[in-house]
Amino acid sequence: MESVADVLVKKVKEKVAKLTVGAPEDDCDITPVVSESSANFIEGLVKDAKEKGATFCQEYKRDGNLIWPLLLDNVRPDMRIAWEEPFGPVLPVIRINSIEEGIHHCNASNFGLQGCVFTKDVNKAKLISDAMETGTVQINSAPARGPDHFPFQGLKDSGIGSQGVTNSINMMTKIKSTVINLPTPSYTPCSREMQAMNPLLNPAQQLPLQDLQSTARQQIQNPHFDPTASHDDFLEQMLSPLSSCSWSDLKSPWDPPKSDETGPPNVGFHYDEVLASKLRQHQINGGDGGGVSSPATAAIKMMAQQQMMLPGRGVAGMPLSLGSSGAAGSHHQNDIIYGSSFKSPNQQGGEGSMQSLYNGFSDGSLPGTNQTQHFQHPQAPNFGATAGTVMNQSQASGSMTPAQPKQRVRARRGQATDPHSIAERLRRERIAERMKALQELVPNANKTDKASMLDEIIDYVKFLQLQVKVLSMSRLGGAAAVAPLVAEMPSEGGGDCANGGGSIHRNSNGNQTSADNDSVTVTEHQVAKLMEEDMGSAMQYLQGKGLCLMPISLATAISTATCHSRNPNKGGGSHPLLQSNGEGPSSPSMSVLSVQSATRGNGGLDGSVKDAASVSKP
Amino acid sequence: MNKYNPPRMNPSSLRSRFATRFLRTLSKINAQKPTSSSSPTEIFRRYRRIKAAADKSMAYSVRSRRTWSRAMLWKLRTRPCGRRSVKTSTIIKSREARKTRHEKQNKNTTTTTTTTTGEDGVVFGVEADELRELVPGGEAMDLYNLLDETAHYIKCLTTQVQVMKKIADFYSP
Repeated sequence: MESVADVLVKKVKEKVAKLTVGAPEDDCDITPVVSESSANFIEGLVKDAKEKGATFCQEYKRDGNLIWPLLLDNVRPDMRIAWEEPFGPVLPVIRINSIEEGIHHCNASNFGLQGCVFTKDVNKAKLISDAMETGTVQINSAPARGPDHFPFQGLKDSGIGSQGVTNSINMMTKIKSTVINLPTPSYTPCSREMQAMNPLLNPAQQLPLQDLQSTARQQIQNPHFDPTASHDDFLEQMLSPLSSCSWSDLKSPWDPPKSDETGPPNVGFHYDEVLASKLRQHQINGGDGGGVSSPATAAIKMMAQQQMMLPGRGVAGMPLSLGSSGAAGSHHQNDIIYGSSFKSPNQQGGEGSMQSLYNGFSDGSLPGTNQTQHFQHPQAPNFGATAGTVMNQSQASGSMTPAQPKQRVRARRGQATDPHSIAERLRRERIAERMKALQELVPNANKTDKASMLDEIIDYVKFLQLQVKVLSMSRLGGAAAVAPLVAEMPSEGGGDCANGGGSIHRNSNGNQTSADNDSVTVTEHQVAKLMEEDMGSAMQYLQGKGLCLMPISLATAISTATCHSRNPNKGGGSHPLLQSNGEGPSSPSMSVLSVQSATRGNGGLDGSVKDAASVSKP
Repeated sequence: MNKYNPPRMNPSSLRSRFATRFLRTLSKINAQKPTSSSSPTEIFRRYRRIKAAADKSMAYSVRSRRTWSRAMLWKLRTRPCGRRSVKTSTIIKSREARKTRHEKQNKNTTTTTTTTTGEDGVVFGVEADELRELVPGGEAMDLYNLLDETAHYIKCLTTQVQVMKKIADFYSP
């Protein structure tokens, strides 16, 4: 150990001698400590070490807050510097005779943030670092913060908590749970089917197949049914397998039925279809009908739920299959057995089994008897998870709250049914309708995005209003009259296309500062000249000045159209403006003015308030 | 087609109504101001008058069936008396007075524009306001009616532009 210490001290001494000391702006290695009290503290430590006989490898030197680097050798545990961190350029060297001594000294401190081990032997490194009571152990490195995804924390007195990406977040967050207790349970598949079971139970079993079908169809025409598309879809989907007798998709989640199940499963299958349809009617009619007490009704519905889940399953096959399909709780096994026995066309037995079923259920701590849907709640998720095709459809057909006494709008899949959502949806549809109508009016409007569509509409309205203005302007004739208008545009800030170079009506009121006129004059002449000669180039010129506002589609249409137009008419300044190709509303001749200016709203009407007398135009 | 045809398609169509009214107004204006002065002031005043005439004719053609036409007429009516507003017919005036009263009531009682909510709410906020500025009477409408009015307004504006263009073509040498 001594040899290591000597070599180490020698090497460190050499390195210390090479350190530069000074101000930070000189890029020195050693710079002043943070405050005078800190420097004083360091000095106290050094003096204490000196008194107790440490070896000073350098001279202790201090200048204000600047302390020269100092290596202290042969530091003993009774010196303060062995325990208190200087926060300055002072390095104590404690010579130990064994690893245990070192570990002991390390752990004896009240602090434990970082520790380092320098060794070539990896086993020793691990053993030592395991023994050290610190937050982090750096092997072959100085104490450091990081890597960042490691927690940075200390033991004992070294701080509270932990730093590091996840650690910091977790330290600063506290989990808060919010439990929403609805007044009634939200829709679950079993609840609705169960309600419908009751009236169907007694008569349905005795009916032959055809009658079942017909009743189901009658149910469809029943005015109680909500004649929405989703409803019809659901019934059609329900009944189509009925007619085509395609079993496979319905039985897909489970094993194919055994051969002896062809008889009863047929009945059961249609039975389930009828159940579903009747269920919906029952749902709409609301409440429990029939002469069965409600607990029994609930029980029946539970069974029907189970039955519906396994259409085509034979009597024997049901208990096991349901049990394996994830029904929770041991009492379900009892239920299934009752259910299967109930399935046989025996009403009396059914009644008795209902009672026993109810008893079985009540053992399972069911909530209450008045509301079937509450009843269904504990078991509902299990059934929902294992629903077959029929169940999926019934789930999909609506998000209705169960047992609504009055007629409700049957919602489509994934849509809410409360009045606010309906109203909102309606409103959106109407607006979409209107947007489509507008889309037809505005030329070259093929945008699908609503925002850009509105922008197009706005631009088009502005364009049309501008056309009106220009046309009314042109009544008076003369490019001289128009040019001032045109030339006003550039002065108003050509960069901002959206608000353009100012509106015509503003110019017509002519509150111009003299400064504007100078800059305007040149442009005005140029534009006027261009207008007389060629509309297209005039437009390009103005476009170049950044005054184009029209939607790109319109602009292109105009630019192509202006190629045709040209009868350069010297005297008739109105001509370039009014040159029409005899074609539709998009007038290329209007293009120049319409291109540049932005009409601010109902400019014509607002601007009329101002007196036009103050127009000053050179 | 390059031939100029006076609008004769349908005597009661919007186009013909507007055209007749506007032509009447225009002739009145021309009668009032025989000389076209060169001062910009006069020019602009005339321009303003003509434009107002055009707007008013259009609004009258639509009567008060539409909110925007009512609003436009109201605005034209309530301009300061210093300006000479062109009237096309005195018969309409009484009807107009009734309408403006109604319009004023509308404007006073309606509150600020409703913010569009729902998934389109954020999208339509700015553009809808801009559109409201453009379409006369738009401040008092919700988005649905605003779009409705805009559609009709666009249609009328295109008609107006067409007729005015044809007139200008006809009159320019």
